[in-house]
Amino acid sequence: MEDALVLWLNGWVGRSGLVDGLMGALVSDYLVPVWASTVLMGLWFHGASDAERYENQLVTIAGALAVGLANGAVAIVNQLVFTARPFVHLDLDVPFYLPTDSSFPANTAGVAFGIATAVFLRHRKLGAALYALGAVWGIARVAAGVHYPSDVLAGAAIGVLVGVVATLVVRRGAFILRPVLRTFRFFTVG
Amino acid sequence: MPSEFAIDYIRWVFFCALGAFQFVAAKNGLHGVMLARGFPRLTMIAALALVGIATAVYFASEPRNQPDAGLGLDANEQGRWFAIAAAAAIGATVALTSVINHRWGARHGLDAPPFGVGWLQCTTFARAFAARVGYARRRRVGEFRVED
Repeated sequence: MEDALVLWLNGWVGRSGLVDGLMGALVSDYLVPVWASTVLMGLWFHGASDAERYENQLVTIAGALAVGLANGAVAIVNQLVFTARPFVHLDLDVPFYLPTDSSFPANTAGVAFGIATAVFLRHRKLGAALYALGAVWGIARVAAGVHYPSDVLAGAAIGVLVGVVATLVVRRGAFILRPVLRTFRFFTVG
Repeated sequence: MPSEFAIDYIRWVFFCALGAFQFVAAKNGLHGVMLARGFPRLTMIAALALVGIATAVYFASEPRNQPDAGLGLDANEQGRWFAIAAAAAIGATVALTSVINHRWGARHGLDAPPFGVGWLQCTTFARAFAARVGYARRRRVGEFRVED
């Protein structure tokens, strides 16, 4: 079932220059992390009042923490479970370099969904847009033959979990962050 | 020393961060850090276009799917260069807009206690920061104590 889905999605690779160009950008290690991190950066300055801005700054910190937690969680699971990449077993056209680490779970989905969850818990529309971006990234990775759908789903689940945990940690620990925030805000007149 | 690949990445992030900062400034009326103060709607459109064009140029100019153990960047390098490039974009914006909007920013009183990023709705970063430092200094020497 998973193999069939990977083969079907991979069948779109190489059909048109435009699709391959878009796919090359979407599947890369850089596009989604940079756009999602840029959104987090923008949130630092966003808000109609000082109180609203402070809440958004906590979202930025929670998003950054979620990235770290997602990377850590995926690294731990990678030590416990090794799954070979789809291109090892299947005859695929791979528009990507050939990673040698475990396919399960998808680190990319963990990071993207971690940031999206941290944002979604405060900004529904923006969070939903980031979920969509993470989903597109995951689908592109499956189409490129570097992940199975289950890798992406597991990574997404980890991302949602760490996003919630990061938000709770930042909200509960806001009193610890306050002196750091105050210093940083001084220099950003924030 | 960053590799050529890293320099391209830094350049791309710089323009994305510049666009995002201008977009947020225009959306929140932070006129003091806007490059085109009188045109918020145009600024938002131009900011999104800047992010799109920078992204298109980045991906169209060279093959970007490189292994992080080779030419590419690993997660730590990405984090480091992103932070540097984004900070540079914000720094460049506040420096440039402090010059561009310097005269406009003088029309507003700066003796009141600072109230955060909201300052940038009515003055420049340089003026707001100077006022904030001055306020902190005056408070330290007790100028604002009621009993004085």
